[in-house]
Amino acid sequence: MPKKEERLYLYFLLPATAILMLVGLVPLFPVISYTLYEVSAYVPITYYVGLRNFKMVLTDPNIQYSFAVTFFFTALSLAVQIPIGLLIALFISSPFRGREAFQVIFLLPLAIPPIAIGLAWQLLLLPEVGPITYYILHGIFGIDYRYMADFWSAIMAILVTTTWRWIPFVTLGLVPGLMAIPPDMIDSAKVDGATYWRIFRHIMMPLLKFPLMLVVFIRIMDCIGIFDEAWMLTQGGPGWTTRFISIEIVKKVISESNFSLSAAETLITLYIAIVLCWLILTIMRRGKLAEVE
Amino acid sequence: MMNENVKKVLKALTIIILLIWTLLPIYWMAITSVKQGVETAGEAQRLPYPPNPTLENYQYILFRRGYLKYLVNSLIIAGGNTALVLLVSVPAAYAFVRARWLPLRHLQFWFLTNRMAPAAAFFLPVFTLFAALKLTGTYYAMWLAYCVFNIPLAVWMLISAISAVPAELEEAAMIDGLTRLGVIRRVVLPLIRRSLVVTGLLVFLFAWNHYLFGLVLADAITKPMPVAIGDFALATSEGAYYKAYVACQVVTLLIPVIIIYSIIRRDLLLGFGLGRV
Repeated sequence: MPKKEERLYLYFLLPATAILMLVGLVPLFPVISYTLYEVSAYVPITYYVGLRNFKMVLTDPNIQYSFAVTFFFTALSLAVQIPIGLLIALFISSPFRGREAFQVIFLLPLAIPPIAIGLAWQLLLLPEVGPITYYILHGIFGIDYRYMADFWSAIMAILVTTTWRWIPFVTLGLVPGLMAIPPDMIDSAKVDGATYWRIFRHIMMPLLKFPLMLVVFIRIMDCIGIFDEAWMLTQGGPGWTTRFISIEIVKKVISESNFSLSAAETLITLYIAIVLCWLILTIMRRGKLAEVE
Repeated sequence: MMNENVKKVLKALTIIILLIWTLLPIYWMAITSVKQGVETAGEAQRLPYPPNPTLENYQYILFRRGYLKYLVNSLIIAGGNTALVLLVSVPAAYAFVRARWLPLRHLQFWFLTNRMAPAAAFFLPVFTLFAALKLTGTYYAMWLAYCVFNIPLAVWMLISAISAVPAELEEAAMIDGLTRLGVIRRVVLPLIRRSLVVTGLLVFLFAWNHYLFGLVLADAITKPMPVAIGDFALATSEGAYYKAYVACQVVTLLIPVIIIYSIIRRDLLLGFGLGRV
């Protein structure tokens, strides 16, 4: 038990902990029990099915697809957003006139409600009449783009939409690390005849390693939880093609009333999230220790 | 070596492209919201400016369709949640900073996982809980449910603010006869006032922007603006005026966001977990 002085802190922690437990922990128990029973609005009696729901979640090809497409989308997002975000970070970490004003506008997407972002991009990408599809894709490239035509069209629409929101995050996560590099260091490297690539590789990269890891992990968590933008754009369609795990969990509840399967998916998703979270914090702590040394 | 002038032009060009990219969706929403309804159907909607700007859409949506009510709901929900979150997070953050008792590290980790986990993972639990408490459709449900992501955020931000207050300062104040609570009120709170305001605004922003929990916790009377917009946009029965109406709902939702953003933009990243890098 803590000392007497410390006991006061327990009282300080009590209200916040109580609320978080009430909302984030206590309802997990009925959710666990859902997975052991058949609970559905269509079946009046609930009966015990053991671990069948987990087995179904892990073997149902549709649900497997939902997990797979979520991870695929995560990988795709990182592959696009991290390099572009890094390039822009390299670009804006060197001073230029009006940088302050530029940053004000450039950061704006981070504050915009995701459902508004989804709807705004839907307008821009409407088949035939959206300004991007009409003026750019059709006008310049001659492509007849319909975002609900197939898997790739849909995933591209969602990718562009989420990229708009998250590139500022990647960039501004990396800028402080870049700004911390003393300009003399780069200048003297240039005098010594180092190419830009070598400066990047040997001076910037070591300093960026830790912020980059953090940005990547936070992006992974957000990608796994993708919901709002995709919900506004495709609602999981066409067909099942963009039915990410969050969409699957929600649809199982609100349109199929299949609480048992949704519960099993919820628990698996939470498990993945907690493991990833633990990884992030371990790496952050290591980074901190490295900084102290 | 590249010519200096070419470099400058390239740089200016990149800046312009990035600005257009960032502003285009917002600009398009804004012009769509002030177009005449018929101008947002068919080929007319390609027009990159409003030929006959009008505010009728706003009048129709906010007053005749009653979206003012959803706006007020959003204010009540986000405001109430912010008050609740700050009230419990300040003492919690203080305890995390000052307490030496080791198991609290694990508690802090668990706090954080609640924020990092996908909101959808709390969708069914939260729905189950408030259905069992018979609280679905009330503001209470949303005030409490939004705490899942906002308490960890507030605690995290306040921890970094309170860590900056030197412990010696508090000890000196205690030698002068203040109690621990007195120290918090007279020494700590005034010192972290700015962080407190920023945290409050960011918590408000996240509650204001949140969609998913409202989907199951709100009813027709208590639904917040994002849910109302989602319902409207996903219903297909609104005819030719649909896009103008959706756009003006979105712009209405964005106005407070932009106000808050202009106040806290410097501190925004802290809320996404990057502040202490």
